[in-house]
Amino acid sequence: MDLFAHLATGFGVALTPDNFLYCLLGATLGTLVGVLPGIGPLTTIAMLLPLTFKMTPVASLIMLSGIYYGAHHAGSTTAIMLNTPGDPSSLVICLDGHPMARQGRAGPALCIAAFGSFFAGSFGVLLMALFSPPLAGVALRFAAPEYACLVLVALIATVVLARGRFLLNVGMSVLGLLLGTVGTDIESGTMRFTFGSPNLADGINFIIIAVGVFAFAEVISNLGRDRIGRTPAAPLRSLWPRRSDLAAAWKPILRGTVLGSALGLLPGTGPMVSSFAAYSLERQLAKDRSRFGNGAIEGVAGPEAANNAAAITHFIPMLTLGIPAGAAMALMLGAMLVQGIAPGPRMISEHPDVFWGLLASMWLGNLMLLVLNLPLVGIWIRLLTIPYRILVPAILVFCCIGVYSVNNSSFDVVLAAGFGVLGYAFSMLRCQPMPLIVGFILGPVLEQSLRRALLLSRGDLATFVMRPISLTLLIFAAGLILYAALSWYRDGRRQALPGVR
Amino acid sequence: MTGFLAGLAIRDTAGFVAGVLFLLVGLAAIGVSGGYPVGTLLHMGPGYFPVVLGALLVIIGVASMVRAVAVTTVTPDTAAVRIALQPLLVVGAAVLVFAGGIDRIGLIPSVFATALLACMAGPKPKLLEGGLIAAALSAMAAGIFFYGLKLPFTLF
Repeated sequence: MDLFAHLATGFGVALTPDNFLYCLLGATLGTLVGVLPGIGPLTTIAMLLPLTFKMTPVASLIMLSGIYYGAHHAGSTTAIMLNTPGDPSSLVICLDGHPMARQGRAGPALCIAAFGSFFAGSFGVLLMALFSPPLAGVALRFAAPEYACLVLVALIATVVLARGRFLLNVGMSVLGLLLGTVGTDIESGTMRFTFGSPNLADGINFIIIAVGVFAFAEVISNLGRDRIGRTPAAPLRSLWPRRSDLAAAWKPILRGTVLGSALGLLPGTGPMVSSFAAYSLERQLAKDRSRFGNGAIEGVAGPEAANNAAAITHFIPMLTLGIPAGAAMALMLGAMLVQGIAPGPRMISEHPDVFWGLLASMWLGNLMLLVLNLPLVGIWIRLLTIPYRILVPAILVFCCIGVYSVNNSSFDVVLAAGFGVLGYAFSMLRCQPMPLIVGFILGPVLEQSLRRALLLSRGDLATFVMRPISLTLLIFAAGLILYAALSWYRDGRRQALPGVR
Repeated sequence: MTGFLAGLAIRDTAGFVAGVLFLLVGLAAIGVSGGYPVGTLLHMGPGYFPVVLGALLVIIGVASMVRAVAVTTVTPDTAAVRIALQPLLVVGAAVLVFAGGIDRIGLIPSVFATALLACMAGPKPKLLEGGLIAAALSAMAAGIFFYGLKLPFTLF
């Protein structure tokens, strides 16, 4: 069986001492920075990205994905212990996780969350191993028209399914596409929007934008708040759940895993929407709904499993199609490009060691998180008492060094400062940065494939509807727009998910 | 500005300002990229895509502005917000100090200055604490990036 041979290769790569160490380092750093107050997973990745520049491609991807799911998981720890979600996807974990902790059952909540995550993560990795190669096989037959339609679907899904207002999301997405055109036009060599500056000739590196709109903007808005809401940590007694907890939790974990795995594939949804969807599903299915919000273990198990399953399946579109399904994946894609690896259908066959090694390391990393989180939870909780004002200089210094070391250019640092101010303005104006960064990453792909498709079809737009795959994608895009229009009509000015903004 | 907006009875100020921003960027994009060869649908020039995007931004900007004026109810979502001016300026300055210093005075002094300035971004800055943090971070930066990762920095 092919799969086992591939998995063997993968574990062979992931278990070399170096890579194993990087996986451990990534998961630890991700957890460490993830539990620090006011630093979300995106800032964590953007901040720690430069640490990976000098590594081999496999090692850097292993470490980055370790940081990614480490930071993700840390979010639920802080949600349970302190009612402070480390990232939006663990917002719902607060609803029942923290009441459990208040009732002295923090241990079981953490334990169920950790095991649920691990199970969901393992399932996600299995799905990825099973379905990535066939998906890449289909994608290999994609030509320019299909790619143009695929990017269009991804962009539309991002603006429809991302939180925030639809119109503003569209604006941010188009702004991202526009930023993606800065630099030398590949086909004609024309310098676009460079204003005569050689610093912009190669375009804007995505790390500059990511650090600006995520890290710097986050620091400014956190400092602008009076204080970061902080409640004293809940007491932690026994870690082990009761038999009744396990009996109540295993079904929600299964349901959450399946739901999260599916939602993680869609651009714009990802872990956050998955955890919300899983929470409302559990509430719907519960016999006694009043328990929810008062420490129902199902409300921790389901969303946490969904969250983690989605965090893993989120990688699939990026690795097989080269289409990032969210901001974090856009960052990972950018990091791969820095390493000289273009994710896409050819990656699995051209760099099997990278793909399977990464896959194996994801499973190992999830296992490590289980080991890291449960016994060491006391240490992580203590980190939360570090005042934010001490973290600010560290975040800024790391980000500055990171941005500078991409091209050894101080102009890039100035540019990042500008994007920081812009990012802060966006957060004031309630514009989500996510569609912007996805648009920025996908913009060049969209433009190139559009141009090529129309050149091949002699300017005939019918090429997009004459080809079965691109027609299917266009119908899917139309369906998404219809869905957006319907939900816009249904709840007036408010978009999709209640209570999420 | 606030008075002007209040005069127009705009309840969703944030949406309005975002609309203006999109409109201006869209117009600028059309203005600049109109100067590049635009080409035809068959042979898109380097200006084609940006001009289309600029036009889209203009439409979205106008739509956001119209929507912001048309809104009748004030939800917490549309309520006015306070700008954190001090953090904005101090964080911006700290990053710019790094940008200005790194090629001239080297890694350690730049990190020290940036960190010290960043310590002043909070509500009640403490100078001594800031100095200690800045010194510690300078040592860390040199240790990790210069000695550890061997990135091409000059220390001083």
